[in-house]
Amino acid sequence: MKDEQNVKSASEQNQTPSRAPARGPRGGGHGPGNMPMGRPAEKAKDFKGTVRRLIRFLAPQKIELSLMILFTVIMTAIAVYAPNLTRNIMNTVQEMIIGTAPSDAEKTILTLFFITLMLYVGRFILETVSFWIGNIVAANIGRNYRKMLRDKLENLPIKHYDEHQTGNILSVFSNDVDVVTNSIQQSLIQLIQSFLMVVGVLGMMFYISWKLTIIALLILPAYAITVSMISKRSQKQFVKQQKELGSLNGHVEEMFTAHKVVVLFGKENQSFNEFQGINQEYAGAMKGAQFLSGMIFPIMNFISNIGYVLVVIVGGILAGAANPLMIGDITTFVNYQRSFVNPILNLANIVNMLQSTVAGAERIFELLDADEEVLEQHLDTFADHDFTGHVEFKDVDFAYVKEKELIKNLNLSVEPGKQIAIVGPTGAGKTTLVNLLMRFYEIDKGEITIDGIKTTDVPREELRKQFGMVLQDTWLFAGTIRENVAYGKEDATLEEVMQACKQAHVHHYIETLPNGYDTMLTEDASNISQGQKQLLTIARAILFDPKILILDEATSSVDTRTESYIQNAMDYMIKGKTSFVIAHRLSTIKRAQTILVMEHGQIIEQGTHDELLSHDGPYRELYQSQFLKPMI
Amino acid sequence: MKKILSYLKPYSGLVLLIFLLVSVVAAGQLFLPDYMAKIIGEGIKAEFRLTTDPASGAYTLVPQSVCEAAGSMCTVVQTSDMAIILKYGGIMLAVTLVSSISAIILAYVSSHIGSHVGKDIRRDLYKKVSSFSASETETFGISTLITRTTNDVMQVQNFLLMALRMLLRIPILLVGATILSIKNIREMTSSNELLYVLLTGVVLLVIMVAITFILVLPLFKSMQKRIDNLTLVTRESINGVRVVRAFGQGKREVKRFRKANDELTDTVIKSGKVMATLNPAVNLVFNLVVVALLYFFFRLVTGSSFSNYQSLGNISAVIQYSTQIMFSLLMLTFSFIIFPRAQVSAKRISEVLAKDIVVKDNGNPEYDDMDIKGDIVFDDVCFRYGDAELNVLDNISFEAKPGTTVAIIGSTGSGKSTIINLLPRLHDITCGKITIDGIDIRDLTLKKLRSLIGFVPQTATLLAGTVRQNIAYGKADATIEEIAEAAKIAQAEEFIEAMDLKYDAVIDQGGVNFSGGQKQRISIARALVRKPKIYIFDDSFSALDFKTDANLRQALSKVVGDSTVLLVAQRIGTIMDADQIIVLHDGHIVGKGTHKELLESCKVYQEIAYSQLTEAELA
Repeated sequence: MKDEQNVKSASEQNQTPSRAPARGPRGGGHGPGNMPMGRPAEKAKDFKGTVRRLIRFLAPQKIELSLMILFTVIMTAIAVYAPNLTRNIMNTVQEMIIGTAPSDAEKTILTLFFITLMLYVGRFILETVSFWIGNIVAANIGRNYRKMLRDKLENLPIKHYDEHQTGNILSVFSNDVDVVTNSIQQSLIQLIQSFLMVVGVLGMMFYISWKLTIIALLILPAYAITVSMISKRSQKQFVKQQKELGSLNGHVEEMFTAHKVVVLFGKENQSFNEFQGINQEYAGAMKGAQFLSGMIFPIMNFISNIGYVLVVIVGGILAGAANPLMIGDITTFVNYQRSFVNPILNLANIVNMLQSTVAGAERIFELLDADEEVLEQHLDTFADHDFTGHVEFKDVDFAYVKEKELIKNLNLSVEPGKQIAIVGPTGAGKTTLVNLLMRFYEIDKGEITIDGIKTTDVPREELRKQFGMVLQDTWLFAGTIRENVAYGKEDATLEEVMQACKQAHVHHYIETLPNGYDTMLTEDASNISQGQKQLLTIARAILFDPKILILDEATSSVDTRTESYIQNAMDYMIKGKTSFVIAHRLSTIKRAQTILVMEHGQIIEQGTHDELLSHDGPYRELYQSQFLKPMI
Repeated sequence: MKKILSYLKPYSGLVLLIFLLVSVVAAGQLFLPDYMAKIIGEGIKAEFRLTTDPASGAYTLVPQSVCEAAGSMCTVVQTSDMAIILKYGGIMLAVTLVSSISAIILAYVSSHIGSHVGKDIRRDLYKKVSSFSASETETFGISTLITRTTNDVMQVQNFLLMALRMLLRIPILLVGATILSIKNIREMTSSNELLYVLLTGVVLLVIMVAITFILVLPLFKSMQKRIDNLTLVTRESINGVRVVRAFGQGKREVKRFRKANDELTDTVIKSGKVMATLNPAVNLVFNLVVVALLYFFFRLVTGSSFSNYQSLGNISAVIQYSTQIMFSLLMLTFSFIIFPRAQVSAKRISEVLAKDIVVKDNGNPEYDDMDIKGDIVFDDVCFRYGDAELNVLDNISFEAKPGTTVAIIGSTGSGKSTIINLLPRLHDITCGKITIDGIDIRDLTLKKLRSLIGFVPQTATLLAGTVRQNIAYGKADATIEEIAEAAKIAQAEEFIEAMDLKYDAVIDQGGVNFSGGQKQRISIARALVRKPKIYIFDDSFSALDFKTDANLRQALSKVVGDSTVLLVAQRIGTIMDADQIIVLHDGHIVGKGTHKELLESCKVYQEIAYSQLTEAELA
């Protein structure tokens, strides 16, 4: 849609700024990401700088975040210490069984029970509060980021929109913001928790039995080796998987979009076979990736269990040693041992996550830092002057890309109330003229004036209010027909809307719809035809009642008969108003008071239809070709 | 979801294997605490040694009561039985080995099933969409069909993998852990307090998880909707930025966005609150259960006379099983997040797969080799879209003879393009009959029917590939001479030869590196290379400037020969010389004849003609 607006021809393509390539398909999307294990992490370009900036951005929330961190530390301390209490309880009970317990054993045990209970309840409260805070903080950070990004979009020049694919911009809003907020909510806490757990649990294990701890630590290298070996291979598979996914998506998109052509030329089988080929490759790559990353857990589990069994065996033996290990010692140790591995794994995952987070944050900042439009000047205003509509271009230079000149030394004077037709081959610079009039792009040199007022002297919004624009590409939004037609004039009454639609010759059609003017248009307005869409955009422009009209090949989808009705309405509307028409239609061109023939950004001919015909120039050639004996 | 599960059928053998493997893996997990209890119970003993000879340190083993009476002459020593410990330890190692190998096989088989089920679903979706006629694609819209074939399948796939690997295990673990806990409790005592504590804990946990599920599922569904809405609003603002700014509606769009943003954040916070409470609550219940178990165990010990450590082993086993139960339930909650989305995706996939195709290929293959001349007759044809109330076309009757050109002209919405779309059966007619050489087109196989037609659509759609490949799309075995000839007639030769790679020049996806006019000419060449019996031009020349339009028609007139040409156009100049012109208005034919005839008799035609050209030019 937007793409067609300004990418007209290969030659004009070279003039317009080049687009950044679309980023690959993103898996995951919202919600918790897929198991990051075994997947290659995204790398940020400026890790330190982005992290510093992120932290600065979080500053307003520093109280909540500090509380969360504090609570997490306390919670983890409780989680580390509490099993020790149960250990004491069990040991004392063991002594009671064999009768070697001290006399106040019962009292000691009851006290221990009480303390344990308190610790657990305390932990519950801290955990809940911490999670609640984290949830709200993260959600609001997400909201704020999205709000900031959206507000930024308002200040970006059209150039930015033309240079960046919609999908990529959207991706920043969704994927990248999600990744950052998830991180804050989960990764931050988990980082602290895991780190403290590892240190704390290790300490407790040592405290209980240094001999068993050594046994438990023996298996650690096995973890490291296994994970790194498998990760290397699974990462390769993931990369391959993503590549195949890209091919698959590309093929499906192309074939479905070209569906009509595939069917008409009977190529269903061929395109299916091509598809199946890619489908198989993708399935194969995915299977490999999933298997390899799915193997990590069972193998780690196995190694854990070996450690567990070894500890139980050695613990059992140590129970019979000179300084015997108590049973409570063994079971608690085993508990600790089990809770030792997970945090280590988490730490590895979190490192991965953080990389992706910073990469995402970088993209957010990139968008927030993008060049904004030239600041508004408020040197003048149209309201102070009587409006006549005398538009002038004086020595205007412009190029999308510096090296590729487009418009050079353009001089044009449009008397008030005159209709100007602009014709010429594609790439001639016709839509560019519109871009410049509306200040969608700023001129490089010279000036454009309306009634002597420089267009750069008034705020853009005010300038654009003078113009009514009907583009070839019909943009309507997912709202009711009435809302769409009244887009420029929110307080328009239903009668006014209907009147505009009657003049645009689309009223009758709307009345045949089940909900009439309240009919909801779907996304991309796919529930009405292209021709009707065009008529609605014309109605919209009519209702807007602008002083200067710009018609950009608006009526090419509308047949000439209906166009003639619209012309009548337009004539009435145009009376006394300056208008610019970029047209392919002879009838339109013939009505114009002045025709501009453009080529390579230059006006090569200028005049009325009759005047131009009498010259032996490009216009005459263009017009005459309509009249070679038609064969069909 | 049911439809998706049916995709598992071809792999039912493997699915059974998975059940088996999951059971083995779960069993392995369940055995270990029990065996540890045995090690403690049977492997560690307290010996009561009554010293007989203080000098040599000799002693005899006596019962506990005797030892207590003997005071300091008796010591308690803890011993371990190596043999038993090693025996049970060995069994545990073996069990864990078998379980782990099973888990690895499980990972392999589940990856296999997951990736293949995904492949099968995608294949069926692709096939289905390929066989859609225009009505079906228009019902859905191309972009959602793309999303369903790619993203939605991925959602379902991910969920399937997770279910096979994690979810299946949970019921086994829950039941097994509960049973083994009860066994261990029974070994300790016949009284029921410990039992009550355990079962209360389990039931409480299950209820908590269930409540969370009920609360959270609708919230996640709503969240998904709001995410979609936010994306829609943002996307529209970006795509329509020129219009938004031209009409000065920037603030309004931002307002729209903020509303959607706030709505989404609200849902995120709401669902986050529920999940934020669940986790700590589950932890608390679990911790309380463990404390309660220990407490009642402690009471048991003070109240009875245990003489060995079996009970210690038992209680530690029960505690470990409680841990397993808690972890299983927590794993279940992970699926809450992925399940709603997978369900929505499954529904979207099923909708496409279940869609009835209107245009069916019931043609008679006997006609496949017949030499068709191309005499087209529309006999009282009417047509309406799917569930529309009004006919778009009514009483359409005309004949197009081979060697002639029939042009169709009319207002927007009059049905011009619809008529010619009916010929290759992109839609099927509602009433009446369309025949070619007297044969109803529904009696021809679709392959034969379409092979007769060279169709140039209104907007040129090219595929990624070379120019040559694109033109040859019309005729698979076209020689370079045929391709060049078609290009020449289509007025494309000049710009193709001007490129460095000429016919091997690459057309990017979407054809963005070529102008509209260039693409149209390649599209025309593609139809021309076929040398079809029937040419259909759907307003194909409007993207060309007048000069090229005229040159092309001139070149074309030399080669169409005995073929039939159907031409839809807007320019009077294009159709003026057709053998027959059909004037459409609101889906009806209001004029049929030559240009001169219609100028005299048909009001609609007059209006169109005079709106474009002067009287003199029309002569």
